[in-house]
Amino acid sequence: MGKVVKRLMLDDIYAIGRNESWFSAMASKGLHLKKFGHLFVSFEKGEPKKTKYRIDYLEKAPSQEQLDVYKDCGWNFIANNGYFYVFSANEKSCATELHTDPIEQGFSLSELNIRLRNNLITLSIAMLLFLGLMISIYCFNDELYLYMIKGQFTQQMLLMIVELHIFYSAIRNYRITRNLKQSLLRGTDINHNEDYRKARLLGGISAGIFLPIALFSIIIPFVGIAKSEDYTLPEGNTYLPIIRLAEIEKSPNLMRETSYHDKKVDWANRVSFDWSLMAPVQYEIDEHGIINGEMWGDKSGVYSPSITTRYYKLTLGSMADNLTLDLINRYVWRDELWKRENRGYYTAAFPKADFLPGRNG
Amino acid sequence: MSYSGSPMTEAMYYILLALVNPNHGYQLMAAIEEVSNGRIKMGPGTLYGVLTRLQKDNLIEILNDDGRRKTYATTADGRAALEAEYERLKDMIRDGRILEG
Repeated sequence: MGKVVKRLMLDDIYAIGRNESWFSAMASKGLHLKKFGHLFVSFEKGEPKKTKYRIDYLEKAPSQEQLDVYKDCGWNFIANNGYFYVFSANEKSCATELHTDPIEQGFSLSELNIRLRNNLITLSIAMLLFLGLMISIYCFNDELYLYMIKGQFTQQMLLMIVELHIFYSAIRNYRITRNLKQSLLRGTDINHNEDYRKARLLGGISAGIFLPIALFSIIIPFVGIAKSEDYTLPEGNTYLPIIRLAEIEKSPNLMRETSYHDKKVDWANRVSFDWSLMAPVQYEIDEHGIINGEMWGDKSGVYSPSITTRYYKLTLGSMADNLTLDLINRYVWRDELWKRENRGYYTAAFPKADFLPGRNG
Repeated sequence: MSYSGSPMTEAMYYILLALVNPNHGYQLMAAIEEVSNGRIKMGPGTLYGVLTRLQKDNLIEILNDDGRRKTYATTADGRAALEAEYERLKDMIRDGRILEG
């Protein structure tokens, strides 16, 4: 067996004439079709030969008898991809053409055409729901910027581009099949020498754009998971972008108070690091202490202050102001009266918001 | 696409005609060539495409399937459709006689 060479299946599988013509062109370069998949097509290296290829749409797998009849007529079965079966014949042999009646061939594509149309309808409904979901997420979200810097945003956007591309492919495939069926029913034979270069070039460009996007959108969450970590905040000096409790309290009696503690992390004194494309550095840091001998103002117990810091380094600095407002909305409690009186206050208070200490308690 | 009594394709007409005498795929092409006096050489793709369709529409049936080869025959419905088509074609020929005058 000769060396196997793989090529990307850049054209639509439904473009029958173009694929037949491409297989023939490959055979004349000594690359003979072996396998025919959705992504890759395998060829075996050999002597250049003038070979005719025909792609037949068969809803039922052909019986041995059927394959024998095809063979008797000069057509050898090479490979299939789903319902598409590829047969080849030597250009010089006087094999009877596989299909001698275009109208009958048009009938055989009717069910495929109906199936593709139903697929398209289902996909359209799914796309509508998906777009509706996206619009509702982005239009009715009180904290849009906070949502955007979290991991899912970039992935959702990329996924939407990929899904729109898939939707467009479904429309294109339906149209190809419908046009082919209609032209066969008008009595026009399939053009077995149709130019395939332009379609393969366009397919190549679109694969070059959309495959990396699809791959990227799959990888992003894993990067996020791999980079995310939780650990206990060291008691000593850290190089973290935070104000320490000790710097605020300035009391020599301040001690760390631990709370819920699993194997690795003291959750009252923890550092959580997260990553996303829009905010590649995200810290959420809690520190909790107790000052024995001091009481809360209302005498409810021993004074035990906490501080929470949320730090975001943004890819797009212009998002900082709006993110600040979202963070205030999410984490700072104010009553309605306060909100009315202080409208606009926080935009002025945090003009540069890539460093945002917030204090609880 | 099920058959609704519209004009038959040549392939459909000749397959139904040839299967008035039960036959299997191998010999069917030869039989069609014979019944059409050598005028029609049917491609195997067309042959099996039509056989599948006619079977779905109950115009032909499988008389015998020994696993290796299937023997097909025209059903009563198939014969009726064939006769209707034959009448239609006869009418067409008759109407066309003015060309000979």
